[in-house]
Amino acid sequence: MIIEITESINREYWLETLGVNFTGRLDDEEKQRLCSQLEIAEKQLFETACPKAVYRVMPRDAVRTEGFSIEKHLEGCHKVAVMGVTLGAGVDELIRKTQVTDVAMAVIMDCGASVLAEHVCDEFEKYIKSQISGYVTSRFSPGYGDYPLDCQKDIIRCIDGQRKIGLFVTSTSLMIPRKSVTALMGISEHPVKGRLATCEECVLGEKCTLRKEGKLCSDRF
Amino acid sequence: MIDFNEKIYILDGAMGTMLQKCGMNPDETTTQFGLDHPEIITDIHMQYIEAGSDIIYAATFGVSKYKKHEFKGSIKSATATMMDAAMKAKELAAEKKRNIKVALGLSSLGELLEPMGTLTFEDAYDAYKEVVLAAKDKADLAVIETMSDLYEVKAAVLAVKENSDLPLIVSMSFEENGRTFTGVSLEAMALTLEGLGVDAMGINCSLGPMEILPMVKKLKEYTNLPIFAKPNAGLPDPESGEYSIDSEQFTNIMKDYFKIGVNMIGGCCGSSPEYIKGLKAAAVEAVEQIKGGACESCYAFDLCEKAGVGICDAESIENEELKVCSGNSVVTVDRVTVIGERINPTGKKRMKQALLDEDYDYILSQAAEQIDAGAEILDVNVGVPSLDDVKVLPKVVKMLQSITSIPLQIDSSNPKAIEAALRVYNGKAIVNSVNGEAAVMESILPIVKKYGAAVVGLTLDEKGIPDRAEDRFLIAQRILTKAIEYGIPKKDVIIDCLTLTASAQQREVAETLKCVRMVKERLGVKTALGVSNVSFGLPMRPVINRTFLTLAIEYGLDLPIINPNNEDMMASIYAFNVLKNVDRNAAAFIERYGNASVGTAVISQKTDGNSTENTTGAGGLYDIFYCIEKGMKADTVKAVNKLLKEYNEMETVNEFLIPALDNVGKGFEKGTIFLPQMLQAATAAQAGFDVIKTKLAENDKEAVSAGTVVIATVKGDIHDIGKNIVKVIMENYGFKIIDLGRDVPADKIVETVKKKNVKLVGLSALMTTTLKSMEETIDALKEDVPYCKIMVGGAVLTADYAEKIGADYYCKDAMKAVEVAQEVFNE
Repeated sequence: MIIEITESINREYWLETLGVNFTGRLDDEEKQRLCSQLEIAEKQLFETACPKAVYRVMPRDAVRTEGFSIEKHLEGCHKVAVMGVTLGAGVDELIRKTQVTDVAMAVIMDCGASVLAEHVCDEFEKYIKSQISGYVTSRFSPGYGDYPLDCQKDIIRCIDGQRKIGLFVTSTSLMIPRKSVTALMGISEHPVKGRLATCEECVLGEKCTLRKEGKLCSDRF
Repeated sequence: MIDFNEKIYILDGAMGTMLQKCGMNPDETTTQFGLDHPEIITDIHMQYIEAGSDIIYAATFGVSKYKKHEFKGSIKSATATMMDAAMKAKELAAEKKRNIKVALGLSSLGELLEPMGTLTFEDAYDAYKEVVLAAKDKADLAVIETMSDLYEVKAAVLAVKENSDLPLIVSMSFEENGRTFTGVSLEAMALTLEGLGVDAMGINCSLGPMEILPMVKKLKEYTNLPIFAKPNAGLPDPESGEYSIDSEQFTNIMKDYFKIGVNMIGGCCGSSPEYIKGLKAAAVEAVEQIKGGACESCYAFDLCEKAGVGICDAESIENEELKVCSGNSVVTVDRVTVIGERINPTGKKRMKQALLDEDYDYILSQAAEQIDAGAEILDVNVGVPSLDDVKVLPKVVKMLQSITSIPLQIDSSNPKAIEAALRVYNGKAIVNSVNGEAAVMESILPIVKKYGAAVVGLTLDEKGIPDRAEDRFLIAQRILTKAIEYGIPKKDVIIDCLTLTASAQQREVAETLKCVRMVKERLGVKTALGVSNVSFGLPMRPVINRTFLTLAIEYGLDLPIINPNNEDMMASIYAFNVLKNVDRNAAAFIERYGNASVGTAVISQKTDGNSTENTTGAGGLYDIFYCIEKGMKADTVKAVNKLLKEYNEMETVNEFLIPALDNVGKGFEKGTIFLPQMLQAATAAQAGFDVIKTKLAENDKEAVSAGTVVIATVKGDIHDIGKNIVKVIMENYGFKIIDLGRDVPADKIVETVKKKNVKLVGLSALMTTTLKSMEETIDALKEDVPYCKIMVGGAVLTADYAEKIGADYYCKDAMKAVEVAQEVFNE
């Protein structure tokens, strides 16, 4: 299905992703300039993004998973909703083209597209929850905690991602189009909340950029 | 040969969803399940044949070397097993006097092609070839289906046509917006596939019969080839997996397809033999009504747009306008269409230097600039005597099509280079050029035909350029006749009557114009002309150029080959379109020039948003420090030009550009300047450096390099934005960067380091999954070129980890990379 973009890209997350800290360091003129560039980037992103999403409900056992953290997250769930979301190939193309003439703008777009992809996921997650009877956990993606990126390909096969939303995965588990997300949501007859991974079990460990800054990825969820 | 117009062919229905019903588990792949149970595959084929299918698709779609993890055994044996399963069904049907045709099924390889993915066109071709060779003696035809990338389709089409004699039909999958996932439109598909000489084309999968119907109607308008459709049975339910449209509904909607005149019909995901049975009955009914002859008795009468003409002999739509396309954009030459001439080293020292230095960024920026200025097609010429154009031309074409979506004109006189470039071109290109010389036509026209391009014919031959228009016209006529003989449609031939220099051959200028008119009126083909030659040797060249251009357009010029950055010329074209009532209500003219100011003979399209007139200070009117810090590209260029009047190139770099960048770098370190601003500053500085480089090239001087650095994103990783940031910043500091791109194998990096004797390599990896690959690359470098230092960077790296995998330096950002490089090269 096509997900319509109904609101603008969250500026706070966008600037944060860009590594820009607005508090006190930038004068008003600079802020203004940066903001107007975000506007330009957003306009082009909205013109080229074609967010598509698909999900499928499957028995828990039919989906191969690995790792402790996803196991914990899906504890008590007999079924899972397998989901895939992509902003489409147009966004990749836009960023690729922009890099030739204006790297700064390309970086702004790249970060904006990441925030947009998460937003589209939030919307789709809400939609899935509205369609499913029973209790549903939040989404959990490969690459998060110790749930390996290799499992990307299993998810994409479950949802027939290539044919349904044009979502591919490379042999090194990178998704194309780049601004795409796959995830699992647990479904249960009893109330379940899922359990987000902790830094200790996270495969990124010391390599995590957020952790280097003393932040938690779960703050965003 | 199969005559697809002979009757309505019934195709088959879904295989995957049928296999699921036969007990295939969700975690099993269709291919492996089929290989394990060929008897089930044969049985499903039989069910479709009994339901009415005339053509069945062998279950070879998943057999690809890039899907090797989905099945066991070799490509050859897997292909053979699947083909045999289909052949068996064919034999069983023959016993019942049914003549069934078996199609070799080809589909997406499982890896995406460049530029979206990393698979090269050549590797894709080889992968398809392997399957074609394994099946060609068994299959009656080949089908390429469920495709979303036209480029991948082209690789498959060439693999089938060059390695077999099989008739070939192709279908792609479109979304509600009429485009595939990768942005291919129906029209681009039709143009490209017709050019490549497929036997039929169509649409399958993705949507249901209701949504595909209007697309099939459109497709019928775009092509005279037989067409076909295989829609899904609606959409699957996320929980039950059941498809939303039953066979009766499916058949009812599909009846409308016969009214459009589809030649073949079937079903895709979710369909079953029941659906095919319904289609067969509907087809029989439709054919009977057609046979009856009278439109009034036809069930389609009320709806049919061609009622009165009759479905069976409805006129096919003739489309005589020249169209060219890239993978996702079509240009129809129904008004003056500008071809950008800038990517051509002739007389352009900077472009020549860029080609020699493999400075492809410069070439790409020239492309981007021309497109912004309004070029609709780009001419590509890499003619530098010491360069091997057979290698360079396709390389540049590939790069250009990764960043532009406008069609290209391949400009060369070397048939081998033309073929190499056309082969890797995604879409329908123009070849520039042939001439009236028999040998030239014989060597180039077959290539033009094979790849379905359009072609420019120059009105000259072995005797040179005739003075008189009449004689040039005779050559044009000869070229057109020959092209048609080779099977090139008349509409795809463009004639260039050749512009001569007014200062040397004043009388012949009018002959050129006259010839344009003759060609236009008598031959009815499109015309092209290079324009700026006319003014060579005269003062006020722009005035001569634009006057000649305007005259030529009035005489019938369709495709001026010009520098679109020359706003004078562009303005003349826009004005012409207003005066000739082409640009209705002058909408395009006003959009472009609504805010323009006109000086004496200088027209500016629009002012740079980042430009300000009040930036005074060192460097005169434009303070270079301010301009760079604020990322003002246009003003930086002006400031550098001004500085160059007082200082030489190296002084300008060392005393102004570099210190200005250093200021920005310090701000970034302190956290007062953020990444986007630093990059804007770098981009502005880059524009300044470009002025210097152009000046150096013009004076045949070489830029002084601070050192050569190889950078690459490691094998398996496709993230390149971080690497490109490093490149831009380092180039600003005078380092020569050899950018190997993304997904680069270790051996390629080692080889480049050896060949160019490089002392520093920068590696980037962004994912935890590709750190392993970074480590392997470092090992390879340490082993083969131990003298070369290695710096690494990327989001998931840390200093500790970098040390652990053997890197010499860890760079947390691009400024750090500059520091490291300075340290390495100052040792």
